[in-house]
Amino acid sequence: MKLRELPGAAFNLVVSALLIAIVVLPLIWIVMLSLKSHADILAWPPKFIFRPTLENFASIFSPEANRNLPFLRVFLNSLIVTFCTLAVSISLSSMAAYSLGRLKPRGRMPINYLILGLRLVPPIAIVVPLFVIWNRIGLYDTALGLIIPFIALDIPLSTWLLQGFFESIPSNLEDSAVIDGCTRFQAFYKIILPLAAPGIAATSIFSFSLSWNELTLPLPLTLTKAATMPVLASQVRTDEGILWGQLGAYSTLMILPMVIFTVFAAKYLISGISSGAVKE
Amino acid sequence: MERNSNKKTLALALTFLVAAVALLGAQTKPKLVMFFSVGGSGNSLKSSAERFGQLYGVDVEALLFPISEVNQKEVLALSSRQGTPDIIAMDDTWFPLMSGFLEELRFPKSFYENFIPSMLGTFRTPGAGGRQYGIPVRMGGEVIVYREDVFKAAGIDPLKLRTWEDLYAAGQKVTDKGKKIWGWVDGYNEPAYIVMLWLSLMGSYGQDIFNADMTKTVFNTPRGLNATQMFIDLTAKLATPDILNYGYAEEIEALQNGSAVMGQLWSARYSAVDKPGLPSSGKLKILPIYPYGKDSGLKTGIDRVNGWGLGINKYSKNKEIAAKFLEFIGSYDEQLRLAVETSNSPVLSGIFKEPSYIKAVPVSKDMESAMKDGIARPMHAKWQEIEGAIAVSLQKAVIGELTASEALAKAESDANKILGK
Amino acid sequence: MLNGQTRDQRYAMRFIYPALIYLIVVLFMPLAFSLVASLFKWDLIGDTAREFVGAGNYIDSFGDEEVVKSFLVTFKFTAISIAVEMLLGFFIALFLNRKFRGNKIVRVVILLPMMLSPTIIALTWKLILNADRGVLNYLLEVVFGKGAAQVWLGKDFAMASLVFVEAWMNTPFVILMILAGLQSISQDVIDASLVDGTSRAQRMVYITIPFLRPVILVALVFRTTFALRNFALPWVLTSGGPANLTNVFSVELYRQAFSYYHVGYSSALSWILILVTFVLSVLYVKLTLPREDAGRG
Repeated sequence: MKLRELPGAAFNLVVSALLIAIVVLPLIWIVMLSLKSHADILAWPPKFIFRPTLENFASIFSPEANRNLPFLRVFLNSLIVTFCTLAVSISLSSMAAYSLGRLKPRGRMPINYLILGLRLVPPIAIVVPLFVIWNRIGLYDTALGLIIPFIALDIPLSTWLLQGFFESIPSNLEDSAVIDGCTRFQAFYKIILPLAAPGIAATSIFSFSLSWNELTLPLPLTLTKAATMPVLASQVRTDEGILWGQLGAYSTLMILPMVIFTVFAAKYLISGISSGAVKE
Repeated sequence: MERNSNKKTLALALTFLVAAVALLGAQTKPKLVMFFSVGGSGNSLKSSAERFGQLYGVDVEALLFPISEVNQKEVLALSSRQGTPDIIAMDDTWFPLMSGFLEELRFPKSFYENFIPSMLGTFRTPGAGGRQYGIPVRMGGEVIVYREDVFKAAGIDPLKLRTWEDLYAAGQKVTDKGKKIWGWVDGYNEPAYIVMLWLSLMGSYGQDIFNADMTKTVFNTPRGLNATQMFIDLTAKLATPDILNYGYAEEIEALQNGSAVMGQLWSARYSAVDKPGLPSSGKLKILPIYPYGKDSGLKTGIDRVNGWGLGINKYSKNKEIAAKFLEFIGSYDEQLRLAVETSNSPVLSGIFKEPSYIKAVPVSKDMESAMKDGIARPMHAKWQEIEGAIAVSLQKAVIGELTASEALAKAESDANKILGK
Repeated sequence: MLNGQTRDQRYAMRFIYPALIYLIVVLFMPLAFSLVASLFKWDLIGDTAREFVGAGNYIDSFGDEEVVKSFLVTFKFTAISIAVEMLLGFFIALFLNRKFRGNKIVRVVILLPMMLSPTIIALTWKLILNADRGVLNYLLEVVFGKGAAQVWLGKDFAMASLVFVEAWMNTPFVILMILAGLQSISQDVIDASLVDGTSRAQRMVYITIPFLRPVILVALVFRTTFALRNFALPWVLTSGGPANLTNVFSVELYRQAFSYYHVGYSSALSWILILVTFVLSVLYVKLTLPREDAGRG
């Protein structure tokens, strides 16, 4: 490295290290919790070096704990609900965001306000009616009973987020493509969509995390068959206090799919646009 | 040919029969669903439920959730007339809200006679024509726990502590801020916890909360002020600065690791505190008499019995089995087992004299008076909200935003506003 | 040409209909229920008599001391958190847009706080910030001596702690948005500006920020919407306390809805929240969107 570049590189390093530290240290603390025995968790002064134990994970997978709410089933529920929600929501939202962001039909702003307005409803407000209706039509304690409201809560979010990204793509790309011989839909599908990939990736990460971690709706709307991970994890809040070890274990297990998904989506996030879209 | 088709028909018919019987059999295995709160209480009650299931061939689904979620799920189910859960677990203050949705219990008189009267009364609608809609299964009283060795070392004779003022003076003696040793601890981070302590103090100073027909709160009086001032002094001056964030886990820990040397404890929680192998093991004792206010004219303090009871969902499809379960868990044998094996706080008077129980929990003899002399918490459908309002005023007094008399006055006026709504 | 315009309009609307119809079909009933309920005095359990009061619930809320106070607390909390998040987020995104080794790793790591449920994050920080046995106080005492330990969740610092954890959790979202926006800036545009000889600062003000406007706006609207309604964090970290010092509006709303079961009153409070958030969002849009809508073809 040239000497001139050293201060810049040092700056990059220090700031990066700081950022990573602030983000990662509390997370490491959670993971450490999952590996500490009960006595170690409560030890004072706090133990940074300790003998790790798998007893917290064991207790999550024990037959006793798995009798009514088996971990595997709950985990699978979370995956199914989250992915179905994501698939439907992103599809519907991308199309709507494309139109609102680029085609800009008349009545664009009122539609935007309507969509935003529908999102502003706090989930608490719809819990009671959903509970009553779902019980009546047999969607109580079902995966579908969760997916339907999740999508509804997610579309406004995603539409708004994606709109900004679609808008940022240089204009008139579709027109160039149409001139070159594509149909308008092909232009959308083959040209604009790939260019919006970073935006879609960013939005999916956000959507995924919201659905994955949602607690307000699943708690009243499920019992044992369709319970999701946040519901299971909430059991660490006992009368006599929080089971920190188990909390750590649940957290560690819950963050894994999220990390995997993010790394996968981050590929698209980081890719630049200089793929020669516009050959002026 | 004919013989074969005959055989086939016979085989088919037999299969059908077997299938029908199996199906019917599977369908008629009864099922009970119930929710308990995660923790010591939940584990204890769940063990009973599962035992019942095994003994009587019933499919039991006892689910554990945090206590606020148990409340929500039950309220949602009852208010929309769902039959699940079949058994309704109730913290004593929930009873006024839920009694209208419960099935009246019709057990024989002999069944009811075993229960501690104040506890049984908690699940009975008030007044002369009151009916029983639930039975207590895990209720205790509030007791004062203290470190015998620390008190002795400070020259305090615990058996001479009779009034709250005595207690406070003792607490002052043993509090050492420099060494972070605190003379008082309790749970404070929920409105119900704060108000529980305050209610016990009010009762011990001879102050009622409600008027006779439960239409107004009447506690803003000189007696009430003495009780409230004592509450604030204990909390603000003898407890750790972080006390308002303390839940029961923190209280248990503080008693176990010695950072707190005196406090108020729910009697059923004693066994969670006094575990072997800890620095405090064997050194935590219970005051046999609940303290009373100095000029209150009372001879003994009055604490609040509180805990869990069970009722039957009016819309349940399995009411007979549900009733059988209540009979089971309220029976002498099962209550004894729960008391000895899961440190349940028994609701039947006789158990306090059982040798096996006394052996398992030696301090139970000191707890007996707290159970039997205690009274129930106020029973009002709006109690949750009133509790919330009182708790906020008390917290403000503890952090110094209000004086005791201001807090008391505000608490009373807020409570009356809520009653009037 | 009128025909062409209508065709364009229909084509554009076809993209929007699926999403719009889904929303209306699924949300209509619950929302209608909520709106109607807000016009009644109605408890889910307990005093279950239903009494039509029209705007009564809304009017009562303005006289309800705890509700009004919670509004002020929310405003304070939201304003500070968002300011912190947007500023930090912007600068960190700029930093991450630079090319340096390990850049990719930092970009992925920075997304981590968004991935855990707010409840878990709140519980973890609650442990870390615990006055008597939290690791933060321990480290502070080791480094700075005895007096450095504070009661982080007590009356003096509860709000600050709340803002801090909120920013920790949500700045990554802002970073994500702005970074993605920065990535979308076509390299050609940047090259062109380099040729023109514009300085870094000029490029920032005249190209980058205007370009990012849609994305910044979206991030702002989103963070405001979520911060105003933020429930899990204050509920778990402080329960709105101590003494209601951190009692944000949604905590009060939750209490009215699920501790006291005032369905009618809490529905009215929900709608007030919706209204306020809506007005703020419209304001944001009007203030930050240039007259570009009028000019666009």
